Amino acid sequence: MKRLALLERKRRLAWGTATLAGAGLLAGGVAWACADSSCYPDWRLSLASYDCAGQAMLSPGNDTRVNMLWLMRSLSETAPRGPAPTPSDERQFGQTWLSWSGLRAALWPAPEAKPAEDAQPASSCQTFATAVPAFNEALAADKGVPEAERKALGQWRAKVGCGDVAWDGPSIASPAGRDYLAYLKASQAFYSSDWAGARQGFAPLARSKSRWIAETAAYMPIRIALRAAIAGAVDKYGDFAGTDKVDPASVAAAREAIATYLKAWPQGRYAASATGLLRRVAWLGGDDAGLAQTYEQMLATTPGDSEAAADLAEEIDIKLFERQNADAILDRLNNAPLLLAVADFKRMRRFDDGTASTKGGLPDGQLAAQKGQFAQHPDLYGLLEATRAFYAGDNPRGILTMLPDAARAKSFTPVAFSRQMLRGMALAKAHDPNEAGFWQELLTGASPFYQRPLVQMGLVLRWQRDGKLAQVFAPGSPITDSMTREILLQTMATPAILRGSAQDASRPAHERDIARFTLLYKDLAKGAYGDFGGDLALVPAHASAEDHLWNFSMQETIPVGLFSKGKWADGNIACGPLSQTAAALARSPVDRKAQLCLGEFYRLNGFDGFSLYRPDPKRPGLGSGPEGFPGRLLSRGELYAAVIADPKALPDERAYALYRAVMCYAPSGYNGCSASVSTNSLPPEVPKEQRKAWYNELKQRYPASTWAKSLRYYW
Amino acid sequence: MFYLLDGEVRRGGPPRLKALRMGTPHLPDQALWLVVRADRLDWNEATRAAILSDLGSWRKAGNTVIGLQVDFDAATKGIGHYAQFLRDLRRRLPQEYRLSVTGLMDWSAHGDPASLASLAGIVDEVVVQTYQGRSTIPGYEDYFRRMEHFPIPFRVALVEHGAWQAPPMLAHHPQFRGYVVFLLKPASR
Repeated sequence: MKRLALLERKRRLAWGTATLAGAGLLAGGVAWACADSSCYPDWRLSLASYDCAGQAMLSPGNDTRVNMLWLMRSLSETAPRGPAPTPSDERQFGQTWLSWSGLRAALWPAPEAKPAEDAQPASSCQTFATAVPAFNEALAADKGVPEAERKALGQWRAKVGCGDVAWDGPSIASPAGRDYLAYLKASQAFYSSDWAGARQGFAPLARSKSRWIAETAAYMPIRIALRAAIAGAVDKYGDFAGTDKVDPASVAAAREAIATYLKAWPQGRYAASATGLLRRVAWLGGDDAGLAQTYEQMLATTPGDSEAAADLAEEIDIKLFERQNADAILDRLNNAPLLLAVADFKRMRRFDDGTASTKGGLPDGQLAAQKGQFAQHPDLYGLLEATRAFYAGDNPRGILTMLPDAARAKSFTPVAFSRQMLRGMALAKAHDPNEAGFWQELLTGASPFYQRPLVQMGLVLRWQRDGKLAQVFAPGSPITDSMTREILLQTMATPAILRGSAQDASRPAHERDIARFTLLYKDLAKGAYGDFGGDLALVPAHASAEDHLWNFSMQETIPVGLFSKGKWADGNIACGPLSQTAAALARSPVDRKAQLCLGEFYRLNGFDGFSLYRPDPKRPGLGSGPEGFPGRLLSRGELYAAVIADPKALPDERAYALYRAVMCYAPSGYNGCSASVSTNSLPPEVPKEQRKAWYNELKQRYPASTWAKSLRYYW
Repeated sequence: MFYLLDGEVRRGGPPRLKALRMGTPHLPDQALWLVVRADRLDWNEATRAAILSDLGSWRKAGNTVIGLQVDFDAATKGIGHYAQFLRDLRRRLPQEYRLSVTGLMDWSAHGDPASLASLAGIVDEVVVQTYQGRSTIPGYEDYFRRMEHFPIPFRVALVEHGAWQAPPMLAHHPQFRGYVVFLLKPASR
C-alpha cells in the first residue's frame, strides 16, 4: 500500500474527458483489502509500523490478530509444523511473511470444496447450517409424530427463514406434531423480526414433551433478546450504528435468559453457546471491564493449535482493539497481562520518522507501571521491554543484557523465538562480530513454519553488509529459502552467481528461471551483448514464452522462453531472432538497426513497465546492496534517443526512432519505455517540449516516411 | 447509485452466505446493487435462497434494487467455469433483477478482455476493476486499448486515491456507463 504513495500523490484521479455519470461506491467492501497482492513486504527485520505483511516474531508492526495468535501458541503445546505453503495470491510473501488470512489458512487449511449438489434437499437460508439437521433429527426420532405430519413439518422447516411460509399441507393433529408446528411458527416469527410473537410462541414450548423442543425453546429467548437489542441499532446502510444505539432492556433480558437457560440446562446442548453469548451481552451492554477480563482468560486458556484461537483473535480484535477507547479500557484493568501485551505492541508502532503512530504511543514509564501484572509472564515482559528499547533507539548493548542468548534451544515458542530474534537484531545494530554465528545457531532450532526463513533473512542481511553474498549461493549454504534467494538474484547477484544458479539442479525450477531471466535481461539491458549468445544456452527448450511481465516476481511462470522464441518483429521493421540482434550489438554496440531491433523485442514482448524486484531505496533491506552485475540499464527510450542523436543513422532508422520515441508516451502521457520501473516511483519523463520536437522533426524531415504519415498526435 | 456489499461466500465448510451487514439498508434515494463477494462457485440452493431473500427484503424496505453483483476474482481459477456458473445463476435469478460481475483486468494470463466478452448475453454489466487491493494495476491503458469492441455495458471501478488517467477510448465507447469508486477504510488492525 505504502509503495504507491508517491504515485498516488502525484497522479490523484485525473479524470480526463470521460463523464462521471455512474459514480457510486462500494461501501464496506474493503474488509479484504489486506489479503491481496498489493501488499509487498519490506524485506528487513525491524517492523515498526503497521504492515499488512507480518512475521513469526511478535512485533509492533504485526496485525494484532497475529500477535494474539502467537501469544496463545506460546502458552499451550502446539504440534510441530513444516514450512508454510505459499498462497498463490500472496507469492510475494514467500515463506518469510504472512497475512492474517494466510496464517489462518496455513494452520487450518479449509477442505477442498466439493462441486455443488442441487439434488440435496434445500435448507433454510437464514438459519445456521446446523439448525435444520438438528430439527430434522429430533423430528425423525420422535415416535409421537405420524409419518404424513413428519413429512409436512420437514418441508416447512426448509422454508422457515426464507420469506413467507404458506403452511399449506395436511393439518397437524397429533399433540407431538403440534409442538413441532408451534416451534416452526415461533421460529418464523423470530426470522421475521416479530420478537413478541416469537417470545410468546416459544414460551409454552419450554414445557414440551419433546426434550429437544423444550430445550431449544428455553434457549431461544436469548437469541430473541439479542436480536431485539440490536434491531434499532442499524444505520441507513444496514451497518451497526454502535453500542450506544442498542436497546438496554433487551440486553438485560438476554442476560437473564442466559442465566435461566444455564440453570435449567447446565449441561445442555446450547450451554457453550449460551456461555459464549455472555460476551455479546457484555459488549452490547457496555460492560467493557467484564468483557476484557473474559477475553484475558480465554487468551490464557484457548489452545493455540485449535482454530478457536483464530476465531478468538478475530473477535477480540473487533470487539476490543478496534475500538477508539481500547487503551482506556485496558489501562483500567489490573490483571490482564496478555491483552496489555498486545496493546503495548500496538502502542509501540512508529512511523518511518520515528514518531509514534498510535495516539499517545507508549509513554515512558507506562511499561514499568505494568510490571506487576506480568508476574506470571516474565519472558513476555522482558520481550516487551526489549522491544520498546529497540524501537526507541536505545543502546543495543542494553538489549543484549535484557535478552540472554538461548539460540541453541531445540525449539522455540513464538515468545521465546521473538526474544532471540530481537537479540539478533540488537547484535546487528551493535555491529557485533558474532552476529552471523548467532543467526546460524538459531537456525537449528527455529521452526520451518515462518521462523527459519526469518532467521535466514537476518543472516543474509549480515552477509550482504559484509560483502559476502557469494556465501548465500555456495554449496551447502544455510540459506534455503527460495524467495530470499530470488530477491538476491534479481538485485545483487553477479553474472557468475546467476549462471551458477541457473544450472543448480538442486534448486527449484522457479528460482532457476529467475536466475536465467535476470541474467539474459541484464545481458541485454546492461550491454553485456557478447555474453548473451552463450547464456541463451541456459534456456530449456520447453521454456514458456508467454508475454506477461507486469507482476514479474510474483508469477507462477517465469517466461524465460521470450529470449529464445519471443516475437522479433511485427511488420514495422525487419528484425531477426534476438540472438542475431545481440550478436550484432556485440560486434558494434552502436549498430543503430540492432538497437532498434532490441527496442522491438522489448516492445513486442511486454517489457514496457517491466521491473525486476527492486527494494525501496528509502527502506533498505534484502537486496539493497551494490549490484553485482556491472553496467547501467539502458531503456527502450534511451535506445531511441541514441539513434536520434546519431547524425549518421540512416533516414529510415532515425524516422522510426522518432516515431517510437513519441509513441512511448501514447496515449496516457506517461513514459512507457523506461527500464525496470518499480512501482514505487514514476518513470522518468522527457519534457513535453521534447516530445513535440520529435514529432515536428519526424513530420518535417521525413514527411514521406510511413512513420510520419501514420503519426497524428504527440502526447 | 450504490454498490453495497451484502455478504460473502467464503472458503471452508458448506457454501453459505456469510452476512456482513447487520441489518437491511434504507436508502430510498439511491438505486442499489446488492454485492456478494465469492471465494468459491459451488453455490447451492441455500446460498441462492439467502441472496434472494436479502434482495427481497431490501426491496421490501423501500429500496430500488437493480440487481445482484457477483464479485469473484477469477484470476487464478479461469473464466470458463465462471461463465458456466453465471449462466446457471442468470437462469435461476428472477428476471426483475439484473446481474453484474466485477472483472479484474488480469483475468487471463494475457489480461485479455476477450475472455470477459464471452460473458455477453449472460451478464448485464461488467465492472472492470483497475486496481488490486489499494493500488491501480499498472498497464491499464493497454488493457483498455484492447477493449475497443467490448460488447457488454461496463463501468470502470477506480480505487480511492489510485493513479488514474482516463484512456481516451472511454469517452466515446458505446458500452461505457461510467465509474464506480471503491472507497477505502483506513487500516486499524
